[in-house]
Amino acid sequence: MIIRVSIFKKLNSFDLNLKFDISNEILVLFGPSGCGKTTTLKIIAGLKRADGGFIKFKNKTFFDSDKKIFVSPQDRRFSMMFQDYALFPHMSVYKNIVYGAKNSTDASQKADDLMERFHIKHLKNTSPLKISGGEKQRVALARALMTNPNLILLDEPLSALDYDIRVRLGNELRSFQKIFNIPFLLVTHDHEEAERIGDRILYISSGKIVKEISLKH
Amino acid sequence: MDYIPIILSLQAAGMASFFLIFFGILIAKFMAEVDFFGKDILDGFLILPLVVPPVVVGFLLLVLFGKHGPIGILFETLFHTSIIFTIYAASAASFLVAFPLMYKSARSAFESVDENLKDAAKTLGAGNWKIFFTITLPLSFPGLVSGFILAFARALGEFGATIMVAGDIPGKTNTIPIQIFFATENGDLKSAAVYVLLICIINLFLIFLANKWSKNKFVYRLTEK
Repeated sequence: MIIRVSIFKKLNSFDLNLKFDISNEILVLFGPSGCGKTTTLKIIAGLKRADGGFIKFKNKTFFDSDKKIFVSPQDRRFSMMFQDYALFPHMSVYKNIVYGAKNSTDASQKADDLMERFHIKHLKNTSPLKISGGEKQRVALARALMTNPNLILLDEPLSALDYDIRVRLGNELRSFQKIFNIPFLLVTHDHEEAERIGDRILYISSGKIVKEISLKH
Repeated sequence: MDYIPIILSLQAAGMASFFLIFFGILIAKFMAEVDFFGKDILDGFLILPLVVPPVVVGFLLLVLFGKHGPIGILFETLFHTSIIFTIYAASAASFLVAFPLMYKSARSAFESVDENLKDAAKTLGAGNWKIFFTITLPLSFPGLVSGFILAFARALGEFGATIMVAGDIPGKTNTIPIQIFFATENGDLKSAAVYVLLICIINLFLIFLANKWSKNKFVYRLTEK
């Protein structure tokens, strides 16, 4: 196991209480809207604090309520892809992709490689406001991969797209996960999508895991 | 026409502008990002100069900057001179009455930036200042500019507080509004009318600019082909 998560947080209408591990796979958190999926992603990313529990990556501890450890999101290298992709609207596609890069000389080459691989090189100087939903997803994924992340968190990454594009991009996500060999944690409320993309599905209801299944593709 | 009041007005508002931009943006950033006990009360104090009569602001400035006031004593010790009845006092008065406009505009511009964009930047490793300079500030720019223009226009037209702390010293503190007041009092309506017309034209132009900026999404166009 690469990442171990055990978190507790009091929410308005229920308590979030989850315990699971993530290995080198696409793990899907499936459940209806408002069951605590996005909150879980934000807690793992370090954007929200849990009331209790721990988050461990290999032999490092990113959060431990007993030991009062909290590593900032900047230092976790858990890239998050938001539902609306959260691309910076005032920057070009290229500037979005290199935003998180530390070394500018290596960044340029790496960004070019990623754009080539994701078939978005022709959009290099274009505004993210001018590209399609599928292209936005690829830009967001390229941007997330630029930082050599330990984990990629995907918050309903396909929900804003048409069915045909959802199927195609879902397959792309699967192949990218295999190519880059990074754990993906994806949340969705679409069961068909969860089964199509995920290697493993955790069913969440009112903040708790009620079922777990592994899938063979 | 005497051009000195125009120059003095621009001088007072210009000096105030520097502090308006610096403190307006810094305090608005702090208030938009940090939650603490008593935040609403502090916010009330920061907006207060907008809703109290300018003479109240002038009175407070006199207490602070006067011979026996803490800032007045400090100024006297450091520079061996008094700040009261100088263009600096007029500038301080302009700054205080215009500050709420800059602060309020900057704060709402900062708060309107999508939190997801800042969160995405955090997960990409960006620290708070990098996020501020590369995400928050560029996306708030139209709001900041229109807020600054309104604050500058208010600073330019300041009278009540200025008359209390800077008085009417010809060639030193007689800004346009003060010139209008004393010209009217002396029965020189023609001269007063010229300055009235002038300040109306300047401020109408500034309001036009502010409206244009607040609608302008120029930052989004920068990267379009």
